[in-house]
Amino acid sequence: MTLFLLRGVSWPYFRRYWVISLLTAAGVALGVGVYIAIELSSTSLRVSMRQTVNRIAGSTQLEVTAGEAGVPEERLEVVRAVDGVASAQPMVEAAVRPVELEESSLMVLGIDFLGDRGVREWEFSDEEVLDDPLLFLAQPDSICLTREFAARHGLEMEDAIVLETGHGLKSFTVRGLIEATGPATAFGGNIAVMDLYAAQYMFTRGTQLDRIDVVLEPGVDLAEARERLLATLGTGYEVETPARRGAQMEASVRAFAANMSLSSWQATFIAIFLIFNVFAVAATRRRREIGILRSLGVTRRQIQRLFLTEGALVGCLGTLLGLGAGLLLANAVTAFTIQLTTIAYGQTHGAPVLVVEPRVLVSGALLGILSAVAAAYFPARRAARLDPVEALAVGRFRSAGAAHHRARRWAGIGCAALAAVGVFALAPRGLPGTIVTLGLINLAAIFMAPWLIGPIVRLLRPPLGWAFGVEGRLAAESLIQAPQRTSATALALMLAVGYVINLGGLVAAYRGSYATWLDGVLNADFYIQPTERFVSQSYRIPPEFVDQVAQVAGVRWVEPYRAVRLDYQGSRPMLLSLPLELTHQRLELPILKGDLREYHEKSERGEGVSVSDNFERLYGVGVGDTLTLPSPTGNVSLPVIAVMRDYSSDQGTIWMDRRLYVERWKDESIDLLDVMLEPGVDKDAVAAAIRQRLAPSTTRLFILEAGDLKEVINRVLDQFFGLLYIQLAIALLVAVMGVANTLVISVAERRRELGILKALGTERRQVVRLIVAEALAITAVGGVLGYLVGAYLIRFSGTALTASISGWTLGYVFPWGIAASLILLLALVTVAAALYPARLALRVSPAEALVYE
Amino acid sequence: MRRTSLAIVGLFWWALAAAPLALGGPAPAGAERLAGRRLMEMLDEHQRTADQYAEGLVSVEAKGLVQFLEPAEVRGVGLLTIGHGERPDEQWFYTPAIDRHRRIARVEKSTRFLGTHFTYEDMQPRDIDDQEYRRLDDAELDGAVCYRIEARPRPKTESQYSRMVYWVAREPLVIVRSEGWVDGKLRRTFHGSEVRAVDGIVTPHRWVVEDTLRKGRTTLTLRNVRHRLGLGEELFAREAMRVLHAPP
Repeated sequence: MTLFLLRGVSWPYFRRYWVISLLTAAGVALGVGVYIAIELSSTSLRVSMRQTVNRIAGSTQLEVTAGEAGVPEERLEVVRAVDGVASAQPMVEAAVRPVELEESSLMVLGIDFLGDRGVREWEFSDEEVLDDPLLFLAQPDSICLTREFAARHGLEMEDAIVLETGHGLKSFTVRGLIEATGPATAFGGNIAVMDLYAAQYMFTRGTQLDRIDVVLEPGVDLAEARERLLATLGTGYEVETPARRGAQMEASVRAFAANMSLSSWQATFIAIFLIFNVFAVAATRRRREIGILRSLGVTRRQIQRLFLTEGALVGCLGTLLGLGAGLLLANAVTAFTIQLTTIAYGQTHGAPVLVVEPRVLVSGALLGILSAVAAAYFPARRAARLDPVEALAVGRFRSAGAAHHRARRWAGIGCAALAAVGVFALAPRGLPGTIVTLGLINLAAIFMAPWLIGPIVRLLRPPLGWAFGVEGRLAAESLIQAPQRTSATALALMLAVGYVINLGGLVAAYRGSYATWLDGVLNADFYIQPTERFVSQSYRIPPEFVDQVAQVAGVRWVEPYRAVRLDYQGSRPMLLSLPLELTHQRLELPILKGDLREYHEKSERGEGVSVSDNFERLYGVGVGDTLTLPSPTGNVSLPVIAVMRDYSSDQGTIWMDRRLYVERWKDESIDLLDVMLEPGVDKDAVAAAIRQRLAPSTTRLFILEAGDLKEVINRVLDQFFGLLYIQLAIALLVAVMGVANTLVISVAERRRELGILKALGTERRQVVRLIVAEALAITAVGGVLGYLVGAYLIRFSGTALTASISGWTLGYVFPWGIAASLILLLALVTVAAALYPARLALRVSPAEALVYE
Repeated sequence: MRRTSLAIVGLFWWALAAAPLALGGPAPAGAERLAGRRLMEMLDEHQRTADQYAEGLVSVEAKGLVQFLEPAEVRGVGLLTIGHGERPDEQWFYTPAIDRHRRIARVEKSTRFLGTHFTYEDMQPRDIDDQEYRRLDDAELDGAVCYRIEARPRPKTESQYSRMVYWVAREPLVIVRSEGWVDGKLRRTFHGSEVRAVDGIVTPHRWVVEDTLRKGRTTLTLRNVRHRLGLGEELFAREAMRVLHAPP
């Protein structure tokens, strides 16, 4: 029966209104596409991290690490002596940029050539791989590339390849070629291998190792061996399987991934809402058709099934389109996210490779189809419940929705009450509660906003009349008379605009707070860094540079800065170390809690630390508490003396004196040198003198003034927020498609009205103005509601949402610039979206329209 | 000419000091300290050759130091072996370009050493008590009748070889060939020639190791061999590797 109804009833309807159907399917496609693109890129990022870890791990069963500070080299023999350990091999990893090659990065592995075969299958002993093993070890410029990488760039044995190192640009000689198998398949084959000790020197690791890879004797129990290693090494060391380390890397980008997922769900939600709108209007439009079918004996269940099947079919079509669009979009998003996490989190990944996980495609397809079916459910139920007599009676339709309005009003009140509970009780408990509350706020807005549509349109009537004359007033009247037709579109637009305003406000608040904080802390005269990137674990400054720079005439003092991520309570907060005695002389620290004088005195002596405000919120450790951090020399327990505003890490920050850090973490590495100059000296001359002084040691240094460094950081932020802006644009596109869809429906539904207007002598120009005015009115209603919702969401997201993700709370900033440009953008897009419906309206023949119905 | 390195300390040790020990006899009095310069040539399975020079110092207290002299790119690279009897031996590698010592990790004994046809096991001195010995039938080698002694590792001894067969010339009494067997198959042969007495100690001056699996061989030629030099213990320490020791 359903098939018969589909062929006889649905197909003619869809053929007649194919634009509406296509736009609806496009809405589904966009929702599914965004979901798939974001989820696939998240999966690809995760797989990239795990593959890099697992492939390089080889037959490694356990990995010994000590956070980003590294494992002191002398611990290697300690690990080797542990009972059950068959082989323990040191490793240094650095993702570096090859100069003069079209490659974004090359993963350089520093391994012990004299022993690594116990862990990884390199086959270095083969003469075909290393031309001369002794020469390879004797010369620190020796490098081994994969055959594929070498062939791609026309490199052969004894050729030179220039890489960025901690000592500037260095030329390396290819003295070995390896097949891209085993560990060499990691990082998309962009793997280079060096001697461990040469790598330590080149990438300024001092005598630290990034980790020690352990293979156990056959038959040794993994858990027992792990316990033995932990007991032998003491606190400060992590002994984990490679898989677990991959999971820890994922934890570093958790906040980023959460933001991405939230945005994709928001876009999908808007799309679902639009589908609901289309079906709701279709159910209204086709009431006479339903009445006839019911009179002919078609049951309620069959009507409902027909609508649900239509929903599923539209969902299938949209899903198919969405899968294609999602896969196309996913490539770009994956490349972007991998690049971004490399820059923002200093992580090492392979070349961007899209991992198409069937699970994501299946869940995307289910999301598309089920959303369409779910969106069709209520309209289908309403259609099925229509009384045949009532449905066939002209003019009875509008009064039929009274009970429905009451239900919606109560649902709105209910959701608002629950949302209020959520704001005060659920959201402070963490991210899941916050997301539920966010959903409730959206639902409350959806149910309650229709109350405001009428008043807003009445307010719009005078300006519409002023701008469009009688056509404007007619458009306003049309909206007031047929709210069902337009309200869902206005609400979808409200959600999209609210979302844009919310995110715009959050970004503005974050950037504002960050910029203020940055202005406060970046007040040194120069910053010297080994790379143009702001965050990179691959490049560090040799410790001897501190004295060399300090000796340059005109330099007052030099502060070595080091930032490492620690494993703490399952997260990875950042430990910053600086010579605080010097740092405090130039900085007015943004202390929020604690006594400044006490903080200065104790922290400079290494008798306490300060933590960031988000650290305090995330881990519940504040002034007066004792903070216990794992270090390679055992647990370091220190009192927290102050809480500071700090935006260094979304997982919290700890400030510590450098002497204490070096003593306990055995890490003398430096990420950045903060240089203070004598008053009145010529900055350019001092910078030139610094370059000259360091020239024998390095050929490449970035000496930046505070403004330049801020620019570097802002570029990272721009990239970070770039993806969000793309998602905003897609959400808006979905919403604007809804406006076009609604207008097409509106024209189709008002053929008679338009025909009468034309019969009464309305000019073509006036018909176009009428349609455009109506489109603008819908957009204006959605926009105003969106601004209201967005204005509230900024408050909620800036406190509860960001606090649950990153521990920060942001000040309230309404994005006036975005709001203003959005008005212009929406107006332009709306007029563009109204053109096709306007053309449809022009085609309405007065004679045909007057006999219609 | 393709350059390939040949690490020698073990072979040097084996050739000059361990051979008498392997026979179960006392070390010759003159072998207390010895030094020499070696020319190494390697012929690989592709018939390419390589050569390299190094200085070597060996003591019978299971210590040896090799320092490479040529080519210039490897000059100063050092390899120090310190035997500990029952405990595993220590091996240290020194790279002058970055002034770093590294301890060579215990690895699979059958792994080839630095691309040569020797394995790590071949590079280390053997404790006489690690093996059980049996005399085989005498056999002729290069027209001379030799004693043949089979050595099998004791159960606690780790070895890639299931048995070794030493060929010992009767006059002078010195190992001139040894064979490494793995599961009934000949895996590697070491052939000594140019046997001459230096400072009263019989010394083969040329050693050829042949790898039957890889079909390649490495030749070690010893020059300027001297014994009874009275080398001090301080020469066999890590710090000593920083200085290039000229042959006394």
